[in-house]
Amino acid sequence: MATPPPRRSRRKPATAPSAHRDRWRFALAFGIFLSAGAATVLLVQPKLKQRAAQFKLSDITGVDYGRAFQLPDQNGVVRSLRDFKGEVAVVFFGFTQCPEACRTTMAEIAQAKKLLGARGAKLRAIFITVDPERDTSEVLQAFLANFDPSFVALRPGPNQLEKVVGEFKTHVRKIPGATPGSCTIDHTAASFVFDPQGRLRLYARHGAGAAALAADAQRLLGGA
Amino acid sequence: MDTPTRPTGAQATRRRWLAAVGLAGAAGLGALAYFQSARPPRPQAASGLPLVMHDQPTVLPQLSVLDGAGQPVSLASFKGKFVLLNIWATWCPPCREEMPSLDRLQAQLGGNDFQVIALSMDAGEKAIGLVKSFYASIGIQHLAIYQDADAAAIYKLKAVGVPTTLLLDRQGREVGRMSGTAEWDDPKIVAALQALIRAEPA
Repeated sequence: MATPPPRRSRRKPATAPSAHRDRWRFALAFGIFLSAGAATVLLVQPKLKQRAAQFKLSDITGVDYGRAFQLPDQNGVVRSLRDFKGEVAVVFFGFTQCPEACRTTMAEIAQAKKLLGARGAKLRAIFITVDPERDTSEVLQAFLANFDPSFVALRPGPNQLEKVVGEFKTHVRKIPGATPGSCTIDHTAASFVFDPQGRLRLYARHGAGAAALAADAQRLLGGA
Repeated sequence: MDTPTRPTGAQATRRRWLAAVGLAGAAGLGALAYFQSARPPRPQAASGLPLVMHDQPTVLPQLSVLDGAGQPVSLASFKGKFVLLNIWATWCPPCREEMPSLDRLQAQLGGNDFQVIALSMDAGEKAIGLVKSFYASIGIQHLAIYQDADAAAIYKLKAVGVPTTLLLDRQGREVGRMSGTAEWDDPKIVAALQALIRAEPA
């Protein structure tokens, strides 16, 4: 077998290794590494933007959080995602007896429902209270009456809260208030959007806007 | 395997050039990271006011709300006076608590230079009725009814929680805001607002 030709014929055979040469080799490798990195960033970025352009909210299709919950609603009826087949369900955590400021998520979903017109009948808010002690059935019924009769409030029983919070990989932390009975509960302020087949699809940061939710719900209801 | 080599003049030039490209790339990435992580400076609280005051006034987007008679009113129509815009809802317990103090503040300072606008985020057909009966139940006398029936303030004014209170200057620009409640007719707040009004006459 013939000896392979030298890769770089211009090169002269070396006499001895030198620190100088190693430095330049390192610089060369570093330069190539950075150029490759920059090229990757430039090539990947437009693709990410393209993907984000399909949904206004964050697309988390494939994440399988919270599909198995079974919790009593504001009327004591046990509900699960199966009950909302054919609808876009927006699941979020909260509590009604907010001490300092109350999150406006429910109002935002109600507005998205209004924006959807007739199709709004298929957009459902599912509120899971992280404060089942103070958010009794009566309190939850009164709270829901401010928004939409089709919206649902789930009230986890003892031992159920920790489980459902875990299923959504979210967190809940009780912070004692100034007076006994007043406390605030730190929890994830985002919403999880399930498609009509009951698959988790989108993650909505709090304050993303009713228009964004309505547009994405429209897409999901259209089979996206 | 390449035999170890010593760079010729041409190779050295090429390598220098590649190294320069690499360093330029590194500088570029560094600059990108810096600008991505740069945050605006933290605003500072003005003495006497519970609001977080901004370094620069912020121009607000157009917002149309409804008055107590259901007629559209533009937020811009209040230009010319300082406005304390309180975004609230009847379903929000802390909002209900601070409403009497907002009523007293309007009684004290309301006029050509200043107005408290209590903007309710209650929606639906019953909303105006809910606000009216709540006003009546706690004896509100000086506040007018305004309704954000489209919950537009959440997105347009970034009111992700209620109450959110914005202070607008005479040009209708946001100069400060806070989330949460305050005792709005506290003498310190009244004095601070009076000082603001005096400092910027119409």
